[in-house]
Amino acid sequence: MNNSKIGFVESVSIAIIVMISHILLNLPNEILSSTASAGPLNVIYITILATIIFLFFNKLFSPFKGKDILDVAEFVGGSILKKIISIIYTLYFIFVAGILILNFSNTLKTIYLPDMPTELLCLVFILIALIANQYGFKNVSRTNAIVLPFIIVTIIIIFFSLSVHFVPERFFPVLGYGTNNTFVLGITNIFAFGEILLLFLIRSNYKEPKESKKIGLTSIIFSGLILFLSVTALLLIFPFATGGEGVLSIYMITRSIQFGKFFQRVDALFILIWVLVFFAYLSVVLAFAIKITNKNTKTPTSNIPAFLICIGIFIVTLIPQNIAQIRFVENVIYKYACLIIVFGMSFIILLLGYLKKNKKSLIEGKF
Amino acid sequence: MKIIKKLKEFFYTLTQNQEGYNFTISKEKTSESQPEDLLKKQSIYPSLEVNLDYIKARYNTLINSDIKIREFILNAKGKQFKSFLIYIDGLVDTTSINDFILNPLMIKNFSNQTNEPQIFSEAITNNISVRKVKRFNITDYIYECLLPQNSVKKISSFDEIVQNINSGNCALFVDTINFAFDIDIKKFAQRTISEPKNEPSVRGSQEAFVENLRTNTSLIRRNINNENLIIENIVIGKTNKNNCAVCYIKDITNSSLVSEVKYRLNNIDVDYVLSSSELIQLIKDDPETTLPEILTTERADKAVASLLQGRVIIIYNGSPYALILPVTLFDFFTSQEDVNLNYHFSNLLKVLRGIAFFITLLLPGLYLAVTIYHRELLPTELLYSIVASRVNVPFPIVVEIIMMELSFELIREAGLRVPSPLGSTVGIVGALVLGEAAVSANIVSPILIIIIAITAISSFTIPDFSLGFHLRIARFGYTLLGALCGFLGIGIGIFIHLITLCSLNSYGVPYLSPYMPKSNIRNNGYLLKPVWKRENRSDFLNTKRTKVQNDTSMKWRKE
Repeated sequence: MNNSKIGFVESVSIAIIVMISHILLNLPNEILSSTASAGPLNVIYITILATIIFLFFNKLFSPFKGKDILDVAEFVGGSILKKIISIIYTLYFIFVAGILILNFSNTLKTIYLPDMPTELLCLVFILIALIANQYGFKNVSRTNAIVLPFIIVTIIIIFFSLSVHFVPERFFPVLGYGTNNTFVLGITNIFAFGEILLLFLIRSNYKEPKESKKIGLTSIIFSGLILFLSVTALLLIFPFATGGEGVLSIYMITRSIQFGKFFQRVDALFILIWVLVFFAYLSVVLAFAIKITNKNTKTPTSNIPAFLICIGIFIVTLIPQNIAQIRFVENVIYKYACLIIVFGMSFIILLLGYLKKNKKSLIEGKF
Repeated sequence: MKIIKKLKEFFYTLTQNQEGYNFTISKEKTSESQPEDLLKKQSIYPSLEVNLDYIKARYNTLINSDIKIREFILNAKGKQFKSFLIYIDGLVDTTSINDFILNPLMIKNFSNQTNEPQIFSEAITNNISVRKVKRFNITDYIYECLLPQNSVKKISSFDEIVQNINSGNCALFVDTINFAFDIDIKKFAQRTISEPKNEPSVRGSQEAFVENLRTNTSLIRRNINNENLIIENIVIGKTNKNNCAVCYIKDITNSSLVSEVKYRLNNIDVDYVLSSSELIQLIKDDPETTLPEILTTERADKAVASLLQGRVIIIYNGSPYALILPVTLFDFFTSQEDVNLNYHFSNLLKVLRGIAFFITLLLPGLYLAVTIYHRELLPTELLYSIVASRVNVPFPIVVEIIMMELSFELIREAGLRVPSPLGSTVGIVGALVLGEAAVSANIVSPILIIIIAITAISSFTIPDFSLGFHLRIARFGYTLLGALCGFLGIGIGIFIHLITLCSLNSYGVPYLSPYMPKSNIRNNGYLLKPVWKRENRSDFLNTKRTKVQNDTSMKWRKE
C-alpha cells in the first residue's frame, strides 16, 4: 500500500462505483418499495441529508489532516480500539462484497449462464479481484476511474432511451405512501450512501488532502444524480407495485430499450458494462479490506491478507441458500449494518476523536 | 558370464573404433580466465617491438586476413623512427592512409630533414634578437606537423586503441613513444539514405535512418538547428562493444529522464546486443509485458519531433531504427503523417485507428460471445442469415474461428518470410484458400470470413508494428474468453487488460497518460489540436520548457 496516493478523479470514481454497483442490483427497487411514487423525492431528500452528514463528518475530521478513520480510532482508544474497528470494517466489507457478488452471479446465471454453478461464477469474480489487487491499490483505483465514464454513459443512455416509454402519471401521488414514509421512515434509505465510509478510509491516500471536502461532495452529488435517474426511470417504466418484484430491476428496464427495428434487445450490451462495474467494485472492496488488515497487522505484503479475505468473501457467498435469503440479507441485514457501522459507529469515533483533540488543544493552550 | 563379458568388450571396442564426425562444443570457459583479459588493461609500451608483438597476438594476425599492419620508417627532422600502422581493411579510407598518413610520415622533404629548432616568435630590440624556440619533441612534431588529419587522439591504453581500430580508425605506433596516435579515417560501404519502407508518408520527409550511427545522428543534427542538442555515446556490450547514441535537447528534456536512460544503458551487462530491438528488451520497464513501452521509428522527422517535444532518442549503431522514450499508449496510434495533414483529417484518421484498435482486439471474441450466448442482441434477420450460412458447417463456431485465425496468421507469416517475388503468390493462395475454397468446402461460414477479414484489415491500420503483435496475442485470449462465457469472459479480459495498462510505466510516465492519471490535456490528448494551438509540451514529460509557442502564434493576424 505504499506509494498509493490517488488523485481527485480516482477518489471520486471509487465512491461512485460502489454506489452504482448497489444501484445495478436492487437499490432503486428497495427505495421504491418503501416510498412508492415518492422515490425520486426521497432520493433528493437523502442526497441532501447525506451531504449534510458528510459536511458534519468532514468538520469532525478537520483536526485530523491526512489521517483516516482508523488513525482517529487509534487516537481515541489506542491500538485496541483501532484493532476492533479494523476487524469490524473488514468483516463489513467481506459481508457486503460476498452478498453483492452472490446476487449478481445469481442474476448472470439466470439470464445467460444457466449451466454454470453460481459458486463458480462467484469464484471467478473473486479470483479476478484477487488478480487485480496484485497490481496495487493505485492501479485498482485508476481502473475504476476508466470504467466509471462508461457506466455513467450507460445509465444516461438507459434513461433517455426509455424516455419514450415513460408514463409521467406514475409520479403521482408525489408523496407516495405519505410524508411519514417518505421523510421519516425513508431516512433509512440513506444507507444508499454507504460509500461515505470508503471516503473516510482513503483520506490518508489523497494526493491533495485539502480536496477531501470537494471529493466527498462530488461523490455524493454524482451518486445522488445517478440514483435519481435510476429510480425515476424505474418508476416511470413500471408501476411501483410490480417494479419491486423484478430481479435486477435496472436490467429489467433495459429490456424495453429499442433502437429502431434493427436493435430490439440490447440489454446484453449493458451486462458487459455491468460486469466491468462489478469487477471494479469487488477489486475496490478487496483493496480496502487489504488496506485495513495491513494497517492493523502491519504486514508488509498484501498477498496473505488478500487470500484470506477472498476466502472470507467466498464463504459469505455460500451462506444464503436461496434468492429469498439473499434478498433478506441485502435489504435488511446489509441496510442496518450499513446504518450502524457507517453512520453510527463511525460518527461516534469521529465525535470522540474531535472532542479529545479539542480538549487536548485546550489543555495545551492553557499551559 | 565370461562370454557375455567378452561380447560386451567386443561391442565396446567396435563402437569405439568407429570413426565419424562427432563435433561438440567445448564447455571450457576460455574467455573468463585468459591472460588476454589481464593484458587488456595494459598500457602501451615505449618499445615498438613489444607493442607490435602484443598487437599481433591480440588481433591473431596470423589467421586474421583483414587486419593490416604496415611497418615503416618515420622521418622527422632528419631523425628516423621505426613505426607501424594498424587498421582493418574495409573499414578505412585507404586513399587517406596513403596520401595523408603514410606520405607525410615517410617522405623526406627539405623541411623535414633540417634539424633546426622550431621558431615560434622573434623580436629584435637594440640589435638583439630574441627568439622563442620550441625544443624538438617527436610526439608534438608528429601530432602538429606530420598528421594532416582532423581527428587525431593520443591514446595510451591498448584497450581503448583496439576498440577504436575495431570501429574503423587506424593507429600509429612509433618507437620510443608510449602511446599511439588514433586517427579517424573511417570509410566503409553503407546503405544510402532512402525512403522509409515501413512508415511511409505522403507529404512528410522521405528520409529514413540507415545502419550507420553517425549518418543517423547527422540526420537529426541537420534537422535541429540548436546547439543544445546533445548526442552522447554509450558503449554497449562486453565482447561486441557497439556504440549507441543518446540524444536529447539539454534545455528542454527533463534531466532525471536523461539520467535514467543513461543509467539503464550503462548498466547492461551483456556480451553483445545485436539490434535496437534487443536493446529495447534490455531497457524497458516491464520486460514481461507484450505491450510496447518504447516507440521505434525509422523516420528521422519523427525522431526530431520527439526530441523537440522533450523526449529522449536512442540510436543504436547497426540498426536503422531510433528508439523514442518515454511513450504512452496513445503514441502508438500516431503516425508522422498526422502532423503533415490538416488537423481535421488527422483527427478523423486517429478516430478510425481507435475504432480499428477495438475491432482488432475484440471482434472475433464479441462475435463468439454474441452468437453463442447473446443471440438476442442480433436482429432476427441477421441471426437467420448467420444460422443459415452455418447450416452445412460441421464445426462449432469457436473451432471455426480459431482455425481461420490460425490460417490467417500462417499466411501473414509466410508472406513475410518468403522472398518478395513469391509474396504475391502466397497472398493469392491464401485468399483462395481463405475465401473461396474454405467456404465452398463448408469448412467455414461466409460471415466468418467477413469477420476475420475486417479484423485483419483493422489490424493493419495500427501504425506501430509491436502494438499490432500485442493485439494479435490478446485477440486469441479474448476469443477464448468470449467462447467460454460470453460477455462475462470479454468483461474479464477487458478488466485485466485495463488494470495491466494502468500498471505500466514508460520511464516514469504512466502508460495511459494524460488520461489516467489525469494530467493537463491542453495539447497532449489523443486528438490533435490545430498547429497554432499547440502551445504546450506534454505535461507528463515534465520538460524544462513547457511552452512551445505563445498564445498568439500568428502575430500577423493582429494587424
